[in-house]
Amino acid sequence: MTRIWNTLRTKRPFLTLAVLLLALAAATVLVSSNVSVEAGGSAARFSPQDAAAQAQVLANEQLTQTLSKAGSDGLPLVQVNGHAVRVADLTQVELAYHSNASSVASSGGEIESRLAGNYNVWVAVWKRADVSMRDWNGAAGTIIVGLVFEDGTGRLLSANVGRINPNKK
Amino acid sequence: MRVKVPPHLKELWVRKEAHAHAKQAVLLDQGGSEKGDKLAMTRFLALFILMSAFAVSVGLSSDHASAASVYCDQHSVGGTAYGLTYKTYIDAYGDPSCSGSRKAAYDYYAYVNQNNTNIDNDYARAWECGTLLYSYGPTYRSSFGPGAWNILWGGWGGLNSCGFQADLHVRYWATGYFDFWTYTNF
Repeated sequence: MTRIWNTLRTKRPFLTLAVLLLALAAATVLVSSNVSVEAGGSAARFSPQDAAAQAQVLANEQLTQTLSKAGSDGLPLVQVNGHAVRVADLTQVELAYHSNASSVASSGGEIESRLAGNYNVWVAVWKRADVSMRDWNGAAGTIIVGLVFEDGTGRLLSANVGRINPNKK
Repeated sequence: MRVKVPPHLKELWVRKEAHAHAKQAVLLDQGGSEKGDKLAMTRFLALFILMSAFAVSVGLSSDHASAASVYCDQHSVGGTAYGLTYKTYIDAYGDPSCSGSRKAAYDYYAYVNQNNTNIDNDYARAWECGTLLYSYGPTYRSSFGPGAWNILWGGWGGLNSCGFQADLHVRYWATGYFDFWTYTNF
């Protein structure tokens, strides 16, 4: 092999350089096409377990800023079993991976999001019905938490957190 | 019939032959040099073409530039539940185009399909390459909607040389009926 290389290098330097350049160009094109295939492919960087764990962290952060924060009376807006509502009090109804998506929606319409660009994302949704709402005179409400976050980085792109009284229109 | 050549003539003939060979060698060298120039030129052109092809392939594998436009993109989030529909979104603009070191602008919108909805704009923010440019809010609007796209805030956000960077946190609420927060991260 070394002998062939030396022969080529000394006796056919231009040909050798040309072949090397051609190979480099071909490799560049192949690598770039592989990158775009991976970005548009189905392989997620997060495992479902990783995604579920990240989703829980993000959901609790969002609850802290919304339904769990103190109301005018100093108590959490929504309580479950005497404590500020946490994601552990809710039932996860969806955790889905979407590759190369420019818009995503949960199957029940709890969250819909158009993304600025194409992303590999996870959509997570939790719900809990029949939660007594203290500041709604005890009316039963349904809690909904929906998230869209980026695969791999875990960056939150969209969130939708709240409660609704199904019996009032 | 064999002819005996005198030694002095034989030596002369040998010299003549040697001279002729040398002359041919010179001619061959001159012809070889011209061929060598042509070969070198051909090799140079071939290398130039190959290097150009390489440069083009590298260029093609880079990120595509955004098309020039004033309106650049939108990031939105919303939901539907029991007849309630709401949506929050950020529109991004570039001046005079969307890519590179251009001026960036954002409009922050909210929509709801119900009457008498309250809106809290918790914050509308924008960054330039990670540096916060502004944080507008909190602001409050009552009797919001229904069915109209309502702008909450619009502001220029410096340059978009690091891409558009903005977010929006909005609360839609009607006491006893619904209470939703949306977060949009452009």
